[in-house]
Amino acid sequence: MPETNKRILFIEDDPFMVDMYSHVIEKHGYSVDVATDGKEGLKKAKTGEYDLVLLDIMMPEMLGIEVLENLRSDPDADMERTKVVVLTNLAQDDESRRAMEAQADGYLIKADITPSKLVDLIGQILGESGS
Amino acid sequence: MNWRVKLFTLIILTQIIPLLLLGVLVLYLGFSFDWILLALLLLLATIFAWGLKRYITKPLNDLAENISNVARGTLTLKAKEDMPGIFGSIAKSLNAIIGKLQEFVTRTQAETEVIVSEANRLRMILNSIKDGVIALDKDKRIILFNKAASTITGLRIEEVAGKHVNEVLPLTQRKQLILSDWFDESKDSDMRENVWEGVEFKSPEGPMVFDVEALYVGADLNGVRLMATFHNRTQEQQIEDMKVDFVALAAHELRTPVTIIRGYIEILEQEVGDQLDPEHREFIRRLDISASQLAGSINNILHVSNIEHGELSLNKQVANWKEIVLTACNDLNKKAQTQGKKLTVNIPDNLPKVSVDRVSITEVITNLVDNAIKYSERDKTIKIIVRKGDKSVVTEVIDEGVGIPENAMAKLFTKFYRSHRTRSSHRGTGLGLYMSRAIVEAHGGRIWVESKEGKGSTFGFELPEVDKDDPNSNNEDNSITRDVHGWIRSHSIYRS
Repeated sequence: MPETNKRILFIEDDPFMVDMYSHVIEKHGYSVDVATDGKEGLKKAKTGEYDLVLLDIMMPEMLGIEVLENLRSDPDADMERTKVVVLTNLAQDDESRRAMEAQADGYLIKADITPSKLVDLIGQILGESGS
Repeated sequence: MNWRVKLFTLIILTQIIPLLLLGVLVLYLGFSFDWILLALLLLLATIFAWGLKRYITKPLNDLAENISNVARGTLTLKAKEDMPGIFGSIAKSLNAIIGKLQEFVTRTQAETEVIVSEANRLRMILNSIKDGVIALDKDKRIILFNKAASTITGLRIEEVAGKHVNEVLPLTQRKQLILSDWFDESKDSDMRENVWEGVEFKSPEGPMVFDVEALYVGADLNGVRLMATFHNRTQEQQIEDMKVDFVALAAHELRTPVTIIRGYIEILEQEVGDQLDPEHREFIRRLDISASQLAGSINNILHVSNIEHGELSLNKQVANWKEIVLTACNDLNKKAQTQGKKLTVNIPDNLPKVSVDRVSITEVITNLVDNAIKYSERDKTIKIIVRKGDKSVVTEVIDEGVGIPENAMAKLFTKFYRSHRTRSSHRGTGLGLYMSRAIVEAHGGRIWVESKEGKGSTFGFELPEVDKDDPNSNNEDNSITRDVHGWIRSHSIYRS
């Protein structure tokens, strides 16, 4: 597996989702950090240490969309290099539109995407070759 | 005795005899002639006055009374026909007139009764119809509003009578006032009929859903220009909405486990696939196919829920139709081949451009071709033919499959519809064609089917060609790349 220094923050409350995606993403050489609710995720993301934030929407404490809006509007957040991609099973148009307006870099539907396709897209977004 | 004989006898008895007696008396007593003459004149005057009353004035009075009785409408009292002279004939004629009048009145009364009972019967029928019935005059004013119309809409008949239909009964479909607009459209025709399903009406009690049927007649039919019936489907619609909402909720709950199942199937296949013997690899492949089908069904259900809530939003982009169809058919061709069926595609090069939501419209092609594959036997061919239409692009999917029974055709594009025969033999949710219709119509196009049982079916749809002057024909943000799995902002994609 290719080694990469890219860091990914995965904000997701479902442990099965966390394990499954982390397993595949880490296999492709990325380092994965996990936050299991919105608040924790926001705190971690604001540090600006990540190249990519994968963000679920339906989460306790704080909804993913609120995390995104918060990140994009907070002048103190060091988000220069951090891309934010929403990874959810909410396929409604208004959710997707809201994410687009909040300057998300992508909006992916979990049920329509296999782990390998996700890794492909991460590779494209982060400028890696993918697999 | 004749009246003349009677009169003669009377005169002899009352006039002549007393006159003779008076003569004898005068001669005997020796009165002068002058006195005799005077007495005679007096006597004659009395006789004349009596005769005048008896033979002229009284019959005239009687006749006058008879006539005024008739004038007042009393037809039961008849004139006495034994009146003297001409008056008797007049009385007879008058009685004949009274007889005729009586006959006429009796007949008219009978006819009126028939008309009234007919009208009552019609009113009763009209009012016992469970559907609303209305009629409009040439100015689109309501001139008939039956009891059901009143019960359904909550509007009283006095409230709507003579009012413009849009003022009191605005029936809308996709924000168009159907009756009024269609009335205007029909102005040049002799007779026209139309049916609308799912028409909306905002009643004081809340939104309602009707199915409406209307008939327009060019010439005034007793003042009626348009007749319409409307069936209240609000309750059925609510139940249907609840059904969809419930199924959508359930479907949404299924998405997370399906995502996990599909994800781990793929991980297993990639990580241990090589170590498995062919049989176990086949097991994994079947798991994968089934999980994908399940994911597809869940998506369909959620899609329908979006359509139902009017949330089918399209991200249209001007596109090369040939490329879209070929891409879709490429995947479907593999499926057809594994089932021993053949797929042929025929698309000319010089097609007009269309503006489509790539993801949704691909779903339509997939649905139609997938159905054609499903309902065709082995070794049969499925033809996909694209041609230029009238300012449009027509796409047809022709199969040599089992065909569709006539009684199923009308319901084919409705939600959850599955014919009894296919229900047992073929899997499906009964949503594919419903969704396809919604998607095609949202593109401003139309979809249709032609079929003969045992011979095969042709499903076709037509998309309007891009209007070059329409600034909205390309409304998509070019920085967004869309796919079935969502979207990615193009500038987010790293380009080396």
